[in-house]
Amino acid sequence: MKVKESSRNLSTSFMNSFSHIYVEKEVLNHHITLEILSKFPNSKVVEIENYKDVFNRPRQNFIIQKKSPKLILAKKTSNCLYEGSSLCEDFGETSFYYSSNIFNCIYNCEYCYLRGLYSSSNIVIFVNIEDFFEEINKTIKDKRAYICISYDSDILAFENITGFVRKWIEFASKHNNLLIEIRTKSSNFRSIKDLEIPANVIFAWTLSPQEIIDNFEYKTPSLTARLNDIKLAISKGLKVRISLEPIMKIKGFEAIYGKFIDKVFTEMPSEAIRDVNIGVFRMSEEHIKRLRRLDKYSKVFGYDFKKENGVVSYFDEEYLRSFVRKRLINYIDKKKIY
Amino acid sequence: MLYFICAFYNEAKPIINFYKLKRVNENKFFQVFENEDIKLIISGIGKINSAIALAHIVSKYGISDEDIIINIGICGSRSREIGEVVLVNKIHDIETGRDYYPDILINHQFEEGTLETFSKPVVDFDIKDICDMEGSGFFKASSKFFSPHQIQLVKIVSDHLDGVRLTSEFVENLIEKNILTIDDYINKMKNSFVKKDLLNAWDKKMIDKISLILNLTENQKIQFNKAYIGYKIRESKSPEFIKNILNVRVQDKNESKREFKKLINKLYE
Repeated sequence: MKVKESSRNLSTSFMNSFSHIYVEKEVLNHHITLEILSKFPNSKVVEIENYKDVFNRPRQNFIIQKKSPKLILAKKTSNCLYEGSSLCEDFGETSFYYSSNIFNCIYNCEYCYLRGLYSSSNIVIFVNIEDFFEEINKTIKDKRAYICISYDSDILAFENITGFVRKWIEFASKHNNLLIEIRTKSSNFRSIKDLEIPANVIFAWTLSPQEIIDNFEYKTPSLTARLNDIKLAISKGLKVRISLEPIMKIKGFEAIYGKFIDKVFTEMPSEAIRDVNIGVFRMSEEHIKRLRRLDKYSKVFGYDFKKENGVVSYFDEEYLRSFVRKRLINYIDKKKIY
Repeated sequence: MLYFICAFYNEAKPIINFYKLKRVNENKFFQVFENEDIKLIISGIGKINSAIALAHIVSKYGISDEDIIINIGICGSRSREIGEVVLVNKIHDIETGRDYYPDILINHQFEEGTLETFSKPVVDFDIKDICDMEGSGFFKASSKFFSPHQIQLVKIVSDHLDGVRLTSEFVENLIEKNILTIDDYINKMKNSFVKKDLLNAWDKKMIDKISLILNLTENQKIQFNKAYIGYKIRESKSPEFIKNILNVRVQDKNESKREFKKLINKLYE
């Protein structure tokens, strides 16, 4: 997939995405840095000491930066593996971790927790992937672990720039004790379709009705493009995970989500679906406050929320979940629904 | 507001002329020039002076998300041509070793470069690109108040650090030659940083009036505001029905609470 060179719109004056690439001195000659830079010959390269000098600057404007995001190439020096959050579905796996080679995303989903998680919308790529693998080797030696590698970014969407998914797949194929999940909204499976994908790598597509994509998921591929990508993966013999998350309230919810589920699951052979997870939009109270400060007119705030134990969700969260679940049961064994 | 900071008068003069700025006579501390939308302050040479001037002008005229604050001045360079205009994307403070990065988000016609800021005139130092005596102080002070995309530095190469004395006319000419390009960049920034306001004058008037009629507490006002915005986001129009509440008269707290609850429910319906 080619990253969209956004803002090439004459009505705006914003520079193209990645017009500037900030590179830590220490990784200036790293082979992945050199590969990435070779793909952006027109970008201005600015040498930096530490990615935090750019990424953590005070008073950055996430929304305005998102109109012309920059790349930051850096070295991750600690915490290559984090314990999974209780707000994320662990699919019954006990040792649940996530790992982030990339901070931030090329997409711009209004409900995304990355808004407000970071003070910057610039994208940090940690080029020292070999150190990630080394830390994982040490941490999970002799135990089974489930690692999500696409939480703080859509790692597959960046594949043409980084080649990281390929490297993770190669790593997983040598470590049977690992279960790796690659979650994506991209239509970029073709970039790794030549690879032999081992059984311990799960590809998970996050799907939403086209109406939700149009209203909330800016710059993401359409539902049809994502479905075509899933079909490509299935044609290679993969069992895919479908993530219906976050379910968002919208006028005509039942009709929109009903039609969406019917479309997705009549098009997909149920035996090719590994499992489906459902998650209604929810966030920590602190995080939602940050989102509101960032953009009080975001479409996320069209509906009212309830607060329970520091977590914010719709008042009728349970109804929304059960509506989707009931509809899904027409197509998928309920044991496969999380 | 558009704020300019220049180290000395000859750097400022072409800007004052171009924007037809008038001297603010009552300012006892600095030379300040202004019109309705623009304030220009002459800081004096050096990063501390630049930081003080910035703090002074901002504290006097206020801060908003749409402001742009721009340092325009001459700089030295060994590698660039005299007259070259450089938009600064990195500032390195020689004394502290700290680096600062303005966000460059808007298309422009300048070259970009790294500015090194010194506390005394540069003679023997090994300069990487361009150098001055204000940049880091200006940026550090500005970043206390503004986002990094609002703070910009435009430097014009005036000398090759060979100690040649510059005349006033020469400096003025360097700035004047580039004023149209600088103005074009500023206009693009101004247009791009405008914030959308979902609520129009009618909405704001209704929110105020109804808050008063129902005698809402501060907390209720916040909830009302959220619910009103929620309605406009969902429906893409103002809640016309709200006009009916203008006729409501509440006698006591309980009645006010009841009306308030009805109103919120209706807005989220």
